[in-house]
Amino acid sequence: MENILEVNNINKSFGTHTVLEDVSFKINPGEIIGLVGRNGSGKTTLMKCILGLISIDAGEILFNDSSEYYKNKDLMDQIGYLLDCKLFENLSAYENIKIQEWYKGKRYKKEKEKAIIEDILNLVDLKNDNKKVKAYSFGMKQRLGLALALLGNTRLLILDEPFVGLDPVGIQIIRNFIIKMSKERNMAILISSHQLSEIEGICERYLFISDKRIKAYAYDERRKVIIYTKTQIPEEIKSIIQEKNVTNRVISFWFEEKVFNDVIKCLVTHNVIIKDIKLSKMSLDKLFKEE
Amino acid sequence: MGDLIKLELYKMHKKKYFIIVILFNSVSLLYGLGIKFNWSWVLFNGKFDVIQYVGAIWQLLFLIGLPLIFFMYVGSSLLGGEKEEGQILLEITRVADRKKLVKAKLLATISLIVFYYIINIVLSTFSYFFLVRYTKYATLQLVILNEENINLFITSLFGCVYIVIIVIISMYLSIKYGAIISTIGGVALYAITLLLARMDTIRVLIPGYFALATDAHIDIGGILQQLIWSGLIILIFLYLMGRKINSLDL
Repeated sequence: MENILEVNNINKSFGTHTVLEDVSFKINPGEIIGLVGRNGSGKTTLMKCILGLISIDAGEILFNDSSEYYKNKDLMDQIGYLLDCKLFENLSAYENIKIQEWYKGKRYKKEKEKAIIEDILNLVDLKNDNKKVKAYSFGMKQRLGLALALLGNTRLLILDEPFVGLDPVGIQIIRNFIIKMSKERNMAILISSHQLSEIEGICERYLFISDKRIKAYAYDERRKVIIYTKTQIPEEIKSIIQEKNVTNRVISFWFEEKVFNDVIKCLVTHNVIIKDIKLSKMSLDKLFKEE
Repeated sequence: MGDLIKLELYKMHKKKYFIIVILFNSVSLLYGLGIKFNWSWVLFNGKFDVIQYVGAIWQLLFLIGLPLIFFMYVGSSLLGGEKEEGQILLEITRVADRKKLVKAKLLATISLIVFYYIINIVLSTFSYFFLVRYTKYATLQLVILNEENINLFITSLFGCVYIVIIVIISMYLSIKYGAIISTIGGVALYAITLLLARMDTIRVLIPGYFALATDAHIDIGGILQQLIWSGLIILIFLYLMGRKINSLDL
C-alpha cells in the first residue's frame, strides 16, 4: 500500500533544546495510529511539523510524495487537523465553518452554502443556530473543531489530544466518530494522547515518543492472565507454561483457551487455592514505566 | 487575494468595526448640531467653508489619537492577536501562503482606514451642508479653493498615510509581541513622532510631518519627499513582515 505520509529522519530544535531527533515513520491510508508520549515529549511539535507550521532542521516530510505540500493549497486541503487553538468565539459554528471554507477559496451561493455547512454540522451533531461559539461547552467546541478538520477532501486527519477536557460520554462520542471516519472515508488518522486508556483499542499501531526519538509498536490484542494462589503451585504446571512465568504463588501467561483450561485443571487437581485472577490487555502504560 | 481581503473585511464587519468607524466620525454631526443649536461648548473663531470644516474635524480626531489607536489595535489583533489565540494556524494551513495571508490582512486594514477617511469626509460634508451652512459660522461660498484649503486637504491625506505607516509598524510588532503590547508600542511611536515633528532640524524627515506639525510648510518638494519616505517605510515593513511570518514557528 502506498504511504500517504512519510517522515524521514527529521530533527527539530528550539535554540539549544532538541525536541525531535532522527524521527522517521510512515502512515498508510485508512490506518489509525496513536502517537503517545509524556507531556512535553514533542507530540504537538511533530504534528505541527507535519502541518508545515513549524520548520524542520533536517530530514524531510512527504505527503502524497511531495515535500512542498504545505505550500500547495490542494494538498493541504487533504489534511485535516484538530490542534489546541481557539476558534472565532464571537461567531457562530455556521460562520466559523463558512470562514474556513472561504480561506480555502471555496465560495458557494447562499443555498448551497447552507446545505453544505448544515451537513457538516449534522456530522458532528451540532445545530445551525445563532449561538456564538463562546457560549459552547468544551465538548461542543471539540466537535466543531472536528467539523473544521473534515472540511474538504480530508485524507489525513491529525488529532492532537482530542480527549483532553472531555467527560466519558464526550470521549466515547469522539472515539466512535474517529473509527467511523477511518472506515467510511479510508482516512489515515494520527491521534496523540498522553492518556493511553483513551486511545487504546482504536489504534492499529502506536508511535511512542521518548527522549526525542520515536519507537513503533504494533497493537497486541492478546490478554495476559495472572493467577495468584494462597498455596504452593505444583511443579507439573511447568509442563503447560514456561518455567520463567511461574513463581511460588504467581503464574502468568498469554490467554489461550486450551492453556487456560489446562492450568485451571492442574491447579484444581492439586487442590491449590486461588486467591485472585487478573486479566489484562497489552498495555502501553508499560512503555511509560520503562522510560 | 481579493477574496481573502473580503474575508478579513467580513471578520471586521462581524466584530462591528465598521460601526465603530462610523461612530468616531459622528463627532462631525455632534459639532454640527452644536453649531446649529448654539451649544455652549462649541466655540469657533471666524467663518469657515466646507473644506475648512471637514479639515478641522479630521484634524481634531487625528490629534485626539483614538481612531489611530483603534486602527493599530485592529491591525495587530488581525495578525498578532490571531497568532496568540491560535486562529492563524487554521488560516495558514488553508491558504498555504503565509505572505499572501499577511498582505490580505494589511490590505483589509488599509481598506478600513480608507473607509474611515471617506466616511469622515462624507459625514462632515453632510453635517456642514445640513447643520452649519445657514449659521453665522458659515462662509457665503460653500467651497473656497485657496492655498490654505488645498493644504488642509493635503494634510488630511498625509494624515491618512501616517495612520497606515503606524498601523503597519504595529502589525509587524504584533507578530512577536501580540496585539496589546504592539498597540502600546504604536502609541509610543505616535508620541515620539509627534515630539520629533516639533524639532526644526529634523521635522521634515518625520513621516507624517504634514499631519503632525500644525505649522508644517507644504510645498511640492516636501510632498515628494514625504511620499517617497512614506512609501519606503511601508515597503520595508511589508517585506519585514513577510519575512518574519515565513520564518516563524507557530
